[in-house]
Amino acid sequence: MRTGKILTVLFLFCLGLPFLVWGEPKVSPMDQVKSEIDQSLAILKNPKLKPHERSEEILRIVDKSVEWHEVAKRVLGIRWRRVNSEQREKFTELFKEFVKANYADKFEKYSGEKIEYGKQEIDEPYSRVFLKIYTKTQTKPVSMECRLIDKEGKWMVYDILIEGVSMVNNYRVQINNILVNSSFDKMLETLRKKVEKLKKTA
Amino acid sequence: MKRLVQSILVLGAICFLSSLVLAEGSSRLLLASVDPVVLLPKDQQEMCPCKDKVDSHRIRLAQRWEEEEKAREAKDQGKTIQGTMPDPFQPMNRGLFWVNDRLYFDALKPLARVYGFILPEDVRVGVRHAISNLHAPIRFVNSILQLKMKKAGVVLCRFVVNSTVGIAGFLDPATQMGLEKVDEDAGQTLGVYGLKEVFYLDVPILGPSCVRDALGYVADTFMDPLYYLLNAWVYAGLYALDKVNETSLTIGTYEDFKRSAIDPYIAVRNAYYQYRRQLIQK
Repeated sequence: MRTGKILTVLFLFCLGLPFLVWGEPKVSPMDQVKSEIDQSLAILKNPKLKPHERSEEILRIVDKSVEWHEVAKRVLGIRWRRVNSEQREKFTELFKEFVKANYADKFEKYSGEKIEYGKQEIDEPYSRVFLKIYTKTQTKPVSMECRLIDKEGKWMVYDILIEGVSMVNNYRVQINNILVNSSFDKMLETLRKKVEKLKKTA
Repeated sequence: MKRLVQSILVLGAICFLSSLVLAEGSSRLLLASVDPVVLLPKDQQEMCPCKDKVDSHRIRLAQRWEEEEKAREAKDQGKTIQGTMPDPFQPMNRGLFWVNDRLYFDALKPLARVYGFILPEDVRVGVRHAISNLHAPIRFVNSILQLKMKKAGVVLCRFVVNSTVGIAGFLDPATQMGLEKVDEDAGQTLGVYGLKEVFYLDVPILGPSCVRDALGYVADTFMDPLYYLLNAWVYAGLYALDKVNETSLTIGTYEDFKRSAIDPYIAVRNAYYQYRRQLIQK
């Protein structure tokens, strides 16, 4: 009789296993973005950290919340299909470095702007989260949109739009403009020079 | 009793295995169910007698995956503004971009610095509100032309509230009442009626524009009651004040944008294109 009980428990456990694996309650895109922003704001408001420590900490959060392959794929556009995996990897790494060098000192400009969370739209595997940033001097709040992709159950950012201007689109046009006139390796070289310049002037 | 235990065991085992299949390496095992060759080591895969059949199956699978990928991409790209603005006069525009860049750094920015030093920020924000309030008729007419009656109503209410309670527009109590500023101009009106950008233009002093928006700018000037009420020099002076005032409030924005661009000219052109398209869609 006791074995029967144990087996019943085991049976129920086995029945539940698929749910344990698949039914994990997924964090909504809005909550995901909100928690990342809240973490970053907490770091910015932490007086114990030095400016460079703050930017390092925030860049770590950015690194974890962005799906760099999806970003790089979209920035390269049609070219992504035409280059080999090694070139793709090189470009992804370089572009990631470029974005991080670009935004390393931008966080310090935050001066208590209020963030209002709007709606979220989910259209698997994509979702969009709408935010409004109230600045002191602007008449209208700055509208911001985060685009996320479902990566193994976690929403990861792949594009940010400010006032309807997509960062990914903007960089795609710039990079494709270089690629029209020169080779892929030359484009990488241009980007590498830009990263070095950004790091120097930071 | 024994049978019950047995059946429970069997059921349990099936559930356990199925959950394992689903959880662990599901893609590999699923692939193996249609393509068992993948389970063999790489060098032995080539020697498998049923290779041709499996290869054709693999090709079909790859095609299906690619189709799915394309469908997903289409879904994704449907939401972003695609394409670029025609730019047949790029050499000329690049020259004008450089002129505007120098105008900004050598004239406008130093001037705005001094201006900002004299007037406190709150006053400058007030000046911005007041000038914007004076241009309300342009936004009103364009909202009507686009048949956006709700927006026209907001413009009218904002104008009435801000001109009175807001002391000639220096304050903006309308926004606190939930009447957010409406952004409409004749360039957008032309866009709503289907006119495309035609091509990109970098206009000295005015900055990035296109044929459609340049036409719109001229039309807006004719829609502006101030144009008829004020002396031409006063009207130009008001424009200059607006420009300097605006620059003093946004120092650093252009610098940041330029720094973060790989090719600033292309970055500005594309940002302008996306921004205007998005405004027209609203």
